[in-house]
Amino acid sequence: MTMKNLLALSLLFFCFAIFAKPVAAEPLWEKPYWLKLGHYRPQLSGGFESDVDDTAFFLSPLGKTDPKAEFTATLEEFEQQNKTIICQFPARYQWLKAQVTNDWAALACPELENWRSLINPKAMTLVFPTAYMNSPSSMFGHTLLRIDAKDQTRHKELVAFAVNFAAEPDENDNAALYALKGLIGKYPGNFSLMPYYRKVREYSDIESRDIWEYPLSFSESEVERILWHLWEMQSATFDYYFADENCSYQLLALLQLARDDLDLTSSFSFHAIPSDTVAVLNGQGLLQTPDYRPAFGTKLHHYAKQLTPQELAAAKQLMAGAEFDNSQFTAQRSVAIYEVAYEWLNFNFYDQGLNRDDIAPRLTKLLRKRSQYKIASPLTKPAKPTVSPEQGHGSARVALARSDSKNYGQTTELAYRLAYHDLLDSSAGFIPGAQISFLDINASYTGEHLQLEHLYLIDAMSLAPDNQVFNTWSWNLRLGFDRTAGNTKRVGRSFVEGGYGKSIGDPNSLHAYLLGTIGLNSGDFSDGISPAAGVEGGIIWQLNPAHKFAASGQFQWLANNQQAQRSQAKLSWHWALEKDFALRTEVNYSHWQQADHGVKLALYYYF
Amino acid sequence: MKKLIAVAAISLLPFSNAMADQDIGCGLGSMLFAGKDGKAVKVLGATTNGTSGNQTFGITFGTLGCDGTGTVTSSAKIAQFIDGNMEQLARDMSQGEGETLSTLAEIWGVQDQDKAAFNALAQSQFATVFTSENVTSQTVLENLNSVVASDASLSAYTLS
Repeated sequence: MTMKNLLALSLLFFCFAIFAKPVAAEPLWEKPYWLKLGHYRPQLSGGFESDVDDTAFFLSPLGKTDPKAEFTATLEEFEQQNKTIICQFPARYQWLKAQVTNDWAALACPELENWRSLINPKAMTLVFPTAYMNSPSSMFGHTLLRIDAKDQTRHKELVAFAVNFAAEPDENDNAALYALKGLIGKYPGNFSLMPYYRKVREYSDIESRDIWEYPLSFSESEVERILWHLWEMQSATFDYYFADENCSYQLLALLQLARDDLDLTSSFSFHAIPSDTVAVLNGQGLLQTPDYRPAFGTKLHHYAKQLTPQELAAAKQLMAGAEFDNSQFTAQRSVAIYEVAYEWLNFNFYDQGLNRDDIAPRLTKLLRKRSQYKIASPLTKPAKPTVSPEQGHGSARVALARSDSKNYGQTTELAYRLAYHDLLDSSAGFIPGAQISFLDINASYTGEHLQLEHLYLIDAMSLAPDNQVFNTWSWNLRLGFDRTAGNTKRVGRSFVEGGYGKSIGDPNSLHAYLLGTIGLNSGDFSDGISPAAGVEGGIIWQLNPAHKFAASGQFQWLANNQQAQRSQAKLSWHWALEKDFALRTEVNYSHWQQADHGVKLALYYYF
Repeated sequence: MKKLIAVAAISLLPFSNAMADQDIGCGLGSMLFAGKDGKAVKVLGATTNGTSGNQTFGITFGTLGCDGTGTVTSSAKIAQFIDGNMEQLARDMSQGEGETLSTLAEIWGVQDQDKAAFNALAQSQFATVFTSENVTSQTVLENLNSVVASDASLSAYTLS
């Protein structure tokens, strides 16, 4: 087909498009961009409501729930060329100026201009600090933005500006109150701007939160539009809900102002977690290849691996405040020892809250000694992981399974998990050795009746092994309902159980754990609550990124129960067919009132 | 429902510490290793999609300077940078290289051809600049400025 034909054809389509929609000129206040400017969300009742909870953000008293009233009030101020209002709402002004016939003046606001020139914006980067190794709950992470300046070099990004959306908690609240208030939206949230190094320090100081930095594919003028709106957000306070109206959601609501037709939030109201922010932006093709900034703990672990046991012993001597016999080492290796000793002691200082009077002089001395060697650091830096978080599996999961058991025959099972990652799911893009499942539900169908097999409200495990540097405990926590082999049928129990113990090995290859557990059970098998204690353990072998094998088992003694012991064991094979599809095969054994064994084959889809 | 689940989840998970620490002040008096109480892990912040007490600092909207005027001289910018990065700077200076030291050289205005000399000077004069663990960021800046001033090849970069 020639170019001309192609052109004719596309014109034809163009005309069709016009004819198909003859005069339906949407009123401006119903335009998506206006709704985005006001952070309006459609309500079930049919109307709109803005996420902004601050009356100063609205020019009309009805503004929070009435986009049209807000539009009329705004237009009126602009018609009258009210400078204060124009400079308070530059994004609204620039957009409206392009939409209505007018002879309005060009945007001229000295304060805004001063602010803009200070930032000197050219591009934007999405900053995603990943999970903290020993806290699966931090897998929910955080996201922020960095505004990259025109004269920025790799060495100046530390002094670029970060845009952060955060809640402003009451410092006198305790942890439980903090969580509760956050969930019911009792803390005000707003945007703030600060030098990027402050955020880097914050996440780097948290031992193991590596940072991923994704340059966003926005043009300079698109970045400009985002900033105009950010300026408007100065006066906007949101009720901060940890679960949905959180940093991730608000950053997307800000970023979608870059383009008239960019919609980042509408698919996002159910589970708004930071890794999904990354997924949403990736889905829109807005992410470029990320940079990686290893955290303090990641670096320390990597450095320590480069020392021999003898060198590590010397570093420990230095940390204790003693000298070491440097005649035994080359200058190069002495430098390595000093550097590791400094990093490690500094880490312990913060991690363990050591006394400053003892430690600070030691740290300063280590640096002074190091400075006397005029050689570059012999330690290599941690490599960027081959898989970045946006390449990991989706956070929600559905499964279709077929299972066969000796006692109960064949069933078909359907399962759903709201979030996020279990030990056997492909580790690519996730923290290995950590699991957190929220709302994991499984139902079976035998051809006659439908039955709830299990419902885990939470099922979390943290299995960080000890290494040269870190001495960490492993733990797990499970809360919910499941079934085990009973006398005539599978009997249900509601339970909460938790364990504490140790892990060894490498979560990226062969990894084992053993936990002592305690729990409470109640259900079909006992009249009251039945306390339990026991052990739980397993071995997980990641053969390669696509295949994982696991053997796991659990044994419990139960008090106040007809049946004093309960055990189960499982062999599993997880085969990640591609990013969002997997097959899991399982052979299981359980013993309670009855012994039972069976097999199960499940197909997983992640989204 | 999801909020309920999250409540259950969040109140049950073991947290090692509660509120966000506020480590970087707006003044110029930070010391090395200013210390924190106990394990300064903001696990709660980490868990709950990030909260931190940043709003309580001077650095908010439209302003970079702590005075709130938004006008920042280059030496004030350098002072603030040192203040917010004392430990990283000390570490980099002891090694004569690193991102923090490079950033400092950039905002100090050191030209590319002089950066190696600046780094070498910073390393060799480490003990003169970081005189003790109790040195404040203001003194670090003054000390660094005087070693720059007395260096034959770098004296042109002396801050006034």
